Amino acid sequence: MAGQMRITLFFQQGDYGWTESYFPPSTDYTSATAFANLLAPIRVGLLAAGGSTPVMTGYRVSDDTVFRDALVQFFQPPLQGALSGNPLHPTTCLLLRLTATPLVRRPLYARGIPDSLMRADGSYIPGPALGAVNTLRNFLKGPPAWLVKTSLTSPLAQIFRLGNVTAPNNFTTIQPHGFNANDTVIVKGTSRHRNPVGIWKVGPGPGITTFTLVGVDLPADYAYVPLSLGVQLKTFTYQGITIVNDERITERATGRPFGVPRGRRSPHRV
Amino acid sequence: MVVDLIRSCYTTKMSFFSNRPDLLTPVRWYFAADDALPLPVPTRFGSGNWASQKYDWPGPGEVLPRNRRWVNGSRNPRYTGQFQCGTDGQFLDGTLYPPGDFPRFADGVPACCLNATCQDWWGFNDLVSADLEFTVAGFSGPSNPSDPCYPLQFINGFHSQAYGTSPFTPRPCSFSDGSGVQGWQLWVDFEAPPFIFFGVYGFPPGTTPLAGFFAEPPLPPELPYTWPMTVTFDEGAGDSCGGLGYFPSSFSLTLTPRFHFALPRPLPLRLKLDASVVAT
Repeated sequence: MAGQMRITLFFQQGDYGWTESYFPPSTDYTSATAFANLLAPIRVGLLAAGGSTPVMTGYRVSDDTVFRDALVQFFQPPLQGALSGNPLHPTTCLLLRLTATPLVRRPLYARGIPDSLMRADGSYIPGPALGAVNTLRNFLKGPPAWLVKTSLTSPLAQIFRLGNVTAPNNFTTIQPHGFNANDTVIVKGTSRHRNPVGIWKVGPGPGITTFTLVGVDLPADYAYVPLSLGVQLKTFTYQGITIVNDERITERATGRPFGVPRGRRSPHRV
Repeated sequence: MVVDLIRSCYTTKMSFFSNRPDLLTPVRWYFAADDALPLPVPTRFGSGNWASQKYDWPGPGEVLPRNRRWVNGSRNPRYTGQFQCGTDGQFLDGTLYPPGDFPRFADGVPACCLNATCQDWWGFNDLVSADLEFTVAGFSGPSNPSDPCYPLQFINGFHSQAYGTSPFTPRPCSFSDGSGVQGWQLWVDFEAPPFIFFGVYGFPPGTTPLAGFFAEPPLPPELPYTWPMTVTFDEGAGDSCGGLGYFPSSFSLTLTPRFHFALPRPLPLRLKLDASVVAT
């Protein structure tokens, strides 16, 4: 099954590890792997070259429509950065904004950057990274353009207010919802209303304003559904990148490296 | 081989059979050896941690995350991650049920994980030569089994076989204990190099072996060892060896050796199998 491919790059810096996801203009593993091999040396151009060097250890190619498939590759030795300066702590990163349209965009947190990109007050110095950012920008914009993946939100995906819910699982919207069987929908509401707020699939035979839900953990009791809730088609869109902005220095949490055994997590995190 | 990258290991279940999505197999993720090679082909059996949605995962692979239990990711050191065990298609699309014979070592490690591909496993003729002989001792009855039962086989270059198939043709052996017996026990000792996993199966024609008789017993890490097998017989109607109400005083026993073995490298192999049948 050909779908939309995703490339996940793996980075490591000392005791920290993180990933970045990219969506190449590709629908198969072979071409996606080729794209990953092109992207990797461009992306490491933004990594710091000195100190406890951040490195790119490998990548993972997967089909975004299969959900748990994988094709992993490792760099031996890991790819090292090129920007001069000592690396900042991996939680300090350069915020890049990948934009397809004003409503379809996503942030890209580029960690592993050197201290030459940040002033003492924490502001961004674009000069040293200009070449590397431009190279990455031009590569992602193509042609062929890489993609931005975002979940459609209102107003692109309309929220339909519920007009009625009857047991065990019959929903009625005030307006025609246009859902089809097997569409993925998200029932919106406050977290206090545990059922059925969440993500479900539309059951067979939806009507113009009626539908049922199916899912892996389908709530058993719909009697407590507040009618003020809404339901929204949950769908992702992939659109070509048109703008890549390097915006500012920011903070973004990171975790441990991948594939490194450790003990059970302490109940009292330090 | 390395199939995916995760930070913490866990247990979950996977659907491996494209024609039986209802059959779920427990799996446990573990950290690969440092020098393990990445699986060179795409696989559907990666970690669901990376899934962009966690409410509908059709097809083979991990099932939706419920009851995932953390494990420390420890690894059987014999999983070296150097060989692809399974076809490209099986990794990408799962396999069909039933999965067929899948030779494993006593500790559960699939043979093809240590040797080469599964196809090579079945072409074992090229990898080993083997001498196999049966000897027998310890009969308590007045009649010892007669030739040509023992030695049974001398085979050069054999490979794992399904029950009763060539080159292990059934070997009829006659036993007699003129006074009548209450049952029989077949004791099998064998000597073999490490990493050999095999079972010996036999039952008289027309009889029903005990449940579990075909189960391959857990093997100790070192060989040789003694594996006691209790052979009892169905004394019901149609029993060619005896009638109702009493155990046979003589019967024919057909031994059909069945071997599951794997070697880390080609090497001469000699199996010696001593069988003794004792009236009890």
